Amino acid sequence: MAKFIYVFRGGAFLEKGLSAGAMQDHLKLWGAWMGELAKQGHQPAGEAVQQDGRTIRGKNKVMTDGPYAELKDLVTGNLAIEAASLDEAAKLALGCPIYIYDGSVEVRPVAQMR
Amino acid sequence: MSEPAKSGKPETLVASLFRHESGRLVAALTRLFGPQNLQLAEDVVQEALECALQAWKFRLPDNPAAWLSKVARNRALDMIRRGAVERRFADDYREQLASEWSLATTVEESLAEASTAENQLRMMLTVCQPQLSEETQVTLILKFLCGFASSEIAAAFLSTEETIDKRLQRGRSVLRQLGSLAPATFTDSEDSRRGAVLRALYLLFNEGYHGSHPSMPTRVVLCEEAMRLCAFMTEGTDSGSPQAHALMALMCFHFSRVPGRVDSDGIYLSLAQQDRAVWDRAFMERGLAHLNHSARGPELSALHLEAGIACQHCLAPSLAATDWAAILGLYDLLYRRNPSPVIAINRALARAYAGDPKGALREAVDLAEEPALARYPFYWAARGEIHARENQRAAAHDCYRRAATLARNPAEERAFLRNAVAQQDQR
Repeated sequence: MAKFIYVFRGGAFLEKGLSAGAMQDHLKLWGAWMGELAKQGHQPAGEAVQQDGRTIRGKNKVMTDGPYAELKDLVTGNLAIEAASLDEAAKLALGCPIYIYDGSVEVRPVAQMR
Repeated sequence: MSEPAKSGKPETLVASLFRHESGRLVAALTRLFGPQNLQLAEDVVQEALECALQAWKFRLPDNPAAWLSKVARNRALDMIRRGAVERRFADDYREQLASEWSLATTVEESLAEASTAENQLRMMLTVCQPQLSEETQVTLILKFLCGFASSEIAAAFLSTEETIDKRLQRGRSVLRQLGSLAPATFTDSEDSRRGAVLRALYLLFNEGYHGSHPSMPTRVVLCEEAMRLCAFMTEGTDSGSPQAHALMALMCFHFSRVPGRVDSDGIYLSLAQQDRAVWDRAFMERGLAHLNHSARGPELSALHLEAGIACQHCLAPSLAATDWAAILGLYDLLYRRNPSPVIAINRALARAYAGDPKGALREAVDLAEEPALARYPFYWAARGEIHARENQRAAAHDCYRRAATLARNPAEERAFLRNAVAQQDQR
């Protein structure tokens, strides 16, 4: 098994004015997907991030408030999982409900240390 | 009401947690901010829910309701501190919110689980303002206490989002004139404010139970919401109100019969055709308990009579073994209080079963003159049933056909047509 990181961008969190019922319905889909990953032994471990933050950039270490990415490109969380191959990891990411609200998942293999 | 989370990580969310927490938090914050700042309360709650949507996607917190309360509390404190100068908060909380000394405790207290029932009751009393139509009152209840969006309310009422938004706008403009939430104390048992809430909840229940939705004969969620909110009246500070218990009893009795009301094709079954074994005993028991509570005090309201009739139907082992004399007596009392043609045709039907089909038929035929009944499908269906009991198959058939042409949805239409065909087959 190898380790992979899913980087989530955009999604329901950035959608304003969703109804309470729609939010709960959507969360249920995340719960189902996460539950399935865990059940199949992919050991998902993730963290969601808030919308605010700081960015530091350049030789002069300029610090700015907020990530200031286009909303759809804003990182909204990441998740580490175990999978047999990049193909499998990417296939598993198809089950993520983030696409319903126009979000994306970037699947990256974690660099091997040996 | 939200259930307290058990120890350990919850695997799934309590059904409707987001909607119900939305209702709970909007009421708690409106109590502090005042109805004039309803929009502010809604914004704080929407933000709290959006935070939850983001934070909970990988894992649920131990106690979701408490998590939401905490986020809402922090946002509320921010809002109050920032707006303390220019905003006018609720009249009855202005002083406590103006001072840092009492601010945090006051906010904490209003958001506490222990205040939920009182907050919800006060919010219901507040949105049932007498100058608002009953439809608007129900719309406001669905929006602010049940956490439904305009589009969802429009779907429930077969209305357009525009119509619902208009009602909400009208409601908001009336609420803006109020300085604080309505108090949850009542002057006497006939308090009209309580009556208004009960009427609105009954209307909500009926929309779910007898609703006009084309594809869903019963919208269980609307019935459940009406019962959930009515519990804030029967269990809260107003637990002594016999009328609230009578309404709760009535709704429980009706709801217990939901499992038998339609067949596997979604066609309504008449009382005679229903399998009484599938009726929900638990709701009947609840209904009986509330009927007992409703009997305290000298009052006998229309709700008491309607609950009594529904109770007789629930208790009867079969249509034939129903105590029709008791039901007829209750309809007589109901009619004396409120001589409406709809009650009159129901009373005529009870009379037919109580052993006086000729008298019943006379009454039913006389009622044909009533303009309110001419286009009422259930008048023609009831009259058909009375004809059928007198073996007047042709007349019964015609009445059922007429009911079918007036039906409000395909489920009703198919039920009436099936009854019409049954009359033909027996001729």
